Amino acid sequence: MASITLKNVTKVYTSSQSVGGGLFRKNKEKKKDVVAVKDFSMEIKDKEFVVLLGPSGCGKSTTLRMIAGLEEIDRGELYIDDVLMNDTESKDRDVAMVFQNYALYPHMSVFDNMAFAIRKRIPDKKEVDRKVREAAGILGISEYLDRKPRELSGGQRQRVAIGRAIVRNPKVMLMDEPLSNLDAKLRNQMRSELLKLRKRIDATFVYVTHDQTEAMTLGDRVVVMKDGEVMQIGKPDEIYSNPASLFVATFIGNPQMNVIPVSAYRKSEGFYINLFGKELALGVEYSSTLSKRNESFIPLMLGIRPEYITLDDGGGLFEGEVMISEHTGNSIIVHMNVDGTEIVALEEERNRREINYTQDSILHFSFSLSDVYLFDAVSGLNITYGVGNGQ
Amino acid sequence: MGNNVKSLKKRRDNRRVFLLLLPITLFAIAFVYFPFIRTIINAFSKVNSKGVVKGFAGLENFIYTYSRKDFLPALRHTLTIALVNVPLTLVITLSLALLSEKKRKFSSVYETMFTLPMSVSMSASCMIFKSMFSPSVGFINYFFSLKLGWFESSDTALFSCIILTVWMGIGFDYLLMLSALRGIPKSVMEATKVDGISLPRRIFFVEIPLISPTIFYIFCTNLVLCMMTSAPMIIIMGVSAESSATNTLMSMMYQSGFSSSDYGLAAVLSLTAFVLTLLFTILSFMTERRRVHYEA
Repeated sequence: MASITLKNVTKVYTSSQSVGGGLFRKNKEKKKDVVAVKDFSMEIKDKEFVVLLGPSGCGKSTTLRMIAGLEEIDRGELYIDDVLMNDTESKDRDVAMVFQNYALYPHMSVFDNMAFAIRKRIPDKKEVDRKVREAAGILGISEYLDRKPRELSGGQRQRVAIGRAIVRNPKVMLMDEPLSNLDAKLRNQMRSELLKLRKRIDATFVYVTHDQTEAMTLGDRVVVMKDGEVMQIGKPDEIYSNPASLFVATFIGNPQMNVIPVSAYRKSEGFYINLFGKELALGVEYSSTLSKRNESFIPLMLGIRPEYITLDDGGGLFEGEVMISEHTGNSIIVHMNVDGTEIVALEEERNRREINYTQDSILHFSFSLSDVYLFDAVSGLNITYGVGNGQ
Repeated sequence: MGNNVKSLKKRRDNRRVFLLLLPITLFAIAFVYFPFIRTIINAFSKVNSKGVVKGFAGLENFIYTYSRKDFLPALRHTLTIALVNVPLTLVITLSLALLSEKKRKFSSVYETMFTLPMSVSMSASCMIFKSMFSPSVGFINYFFSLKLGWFESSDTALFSCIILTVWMGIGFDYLLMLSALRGIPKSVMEATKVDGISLPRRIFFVEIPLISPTIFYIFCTNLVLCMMTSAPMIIIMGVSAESSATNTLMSMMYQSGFSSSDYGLAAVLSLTAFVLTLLFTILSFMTERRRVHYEA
C-alpha cells in the first residue's frame, strides 16, 4: 500500500549570477529566484503508474527528486501513505529510484550492486542470494551476475539499475528518464518489458520522461508539465483527445497538431469562423461557450491533428500545394502550403489512394469540424475543455 | 613519388619531435640520468675526497657502509618515518576531505585553512615548528602543560620530525582527496542515499573504493618522499648533527657526501634507499591490481 499525495508542492532555486567584473573589478552578484516547481498538487493512488511528462527544464525531475527526498520541499506538503514526509530522510521513505545514467556502483559486480542495499536489512545470506537471483531472472541478467557494470551494454546496465531497485521491494518506485540513454530499438524493447514488469511489482510508480510515446504507453495517468507548472493531469487518451490547452495539444501527438489563427464572429444564429476564405459555422458546443463572452469578435487558435485531415485529388473543401512529403514506411506525412500557412496531414500507407503526393502538386483536403479544437488566442486554453464531459 | 613525399614529411615530423623533446632530454640527462649512473659507478669504485674515481672497489664500499654502527639506526629511522607518515597522512587527509566534502557556505574558508600548509616553504615551517616546540619558549609545552624536549631530546626527536613532515604534506594531499571525492558521480551518492546505505558503509564500500586511484597515488608519492627526500628537513632542524636520534639514510648520505666527502659511502646509501623504495613501489603496484578501481 502506498499512495502519494502532493499538496501545493513548490521548489524555488536561488541562482546567483555574476554580472560584469573584470580582473580588478569585483563581480557583482545578482540573486534571482527561479521557481522550478510551482504548486504541484496531485493524489497518486496505490499501485498507480503516473508519468510526469514535459520538455526539459519543466520541473518534472525536480518533482520526482522531491518525492525521493533528494531535494528539499520549499513549500507545500508531501504525504506517502498519509504520513507527512517533508522532513523525512530519503532512506526512511521506502522509495527506490532508477537514475537516467544508471548510477551503478562501478567497482562492484552486478550481484553486489543488487545485493548491497539489502545486505544490512536481511541478515540471512541465502535470502539475499535468492532475492537477487529472482530479480535477475525476471530481468534476464542472470548470466551477468559476476560481471562489472563496465562490461555490460547500456540496456543491460539499466536492467541492473532496475534490479537494484526491485530487490528492495519498495513501496514507491521512482524512475528518472530510465530509457533516454538507450538507442531507439532498445528503448522500444525496454518499454514493453517495463509494462510487463509493472504487473509483477507491487509498487506505486512515478516515472519521468520527455518522450510522449513512453508516457502514453506506460502511464495510467499522465501529468503534463511546463515551466514548473502542471498543465494537465489525465489518462493518456484524455490528454490526447481532450487537451486542456494549446501547449498540451501541440506537445502530445506526432506529427504535431496544426494550429491556425482564426477569429470567431457572431452572426444572427451563432458563431462563424473564416478559414482559408471559407466561412464555416461553429457547432453548438463551441457557440454556447463563446456566447457567454460578450464579445462579437473573438481571436482563437484552431487546432486540427494531422491524422484527422482527409486528402484527395478533388472535392475536398480546401486546396494546398505540396511542399514536401515524408514516407515513414507505414504512413506518409504531407506538408502543404495553404495560403501561406503550413498544414501537415498524415495518411496511413494502407489507406493510400491514387493521389499524387509529389512536390508542387495541388491536393485537396478536408476535415470534420467536430475534430477541431479551439483555443483562446490569449490564454491558450481549450475553450470547450471541461464543458459537457464532466471534468 | 607519393611515397617519397610521405616519407619526407614523416622525416620532417620526426625531426620536429626530436627538437621539441631535446631541452627536457638534456635536462633529464644532466640532472637525473648522469647522477644516477655516477652514483652506481661510485658505489662500486674507490673514490678519493675530490670525487675522482681511483679504481674498482667491488663490494668494499657496501661492506664498509653496512658494518658502520650508525647504518642500522638510520635505516630504522627511515622506515619508521615511512611507516608512520604514509598511513597517518592518508587517514588525516581522507578524514578532512570527508568532513569538507559537501559544499557549504563557509567551504572556501576551511578548504583554504586545510590547504594552507602547502604555501609555507619548508625552511620556514621548520623554523616555525622549532619555535613552537621549543622546550623553553614554545607554546606547545606551555599549552598542554608538558615538559617535553621535542626536537632536542633523543626520545622524541624522531616523533617530532614525523609530526612536521605530516603537517607539511597535508595541504596538497588534502586537495587531491577532496577533488577525488567531489569527482564521484553525484547520482551514485544519491543512489546510496535513496537505498538507505549507512554512513560507514557508504564511506568504506563506495567512496573509498571509488577514489582508490587517488589514494594509491598519494600512498606512492608519500612513500617516495619519506624514503628519499626527508633529509633536508632533518638537516635544517639541526638535530642529526648532535644526536643520531633522527639520522635517516638520506641525511647520513648528505653528511658523508657533502660534509665528509666520503663519496663511496654516500653512493651506497643513496643506492640502498633507492632499491628499498623501488621494492616498496613494486609491492604496492602488485596490490594495486586487486584493490584499485580505475573506472568512471
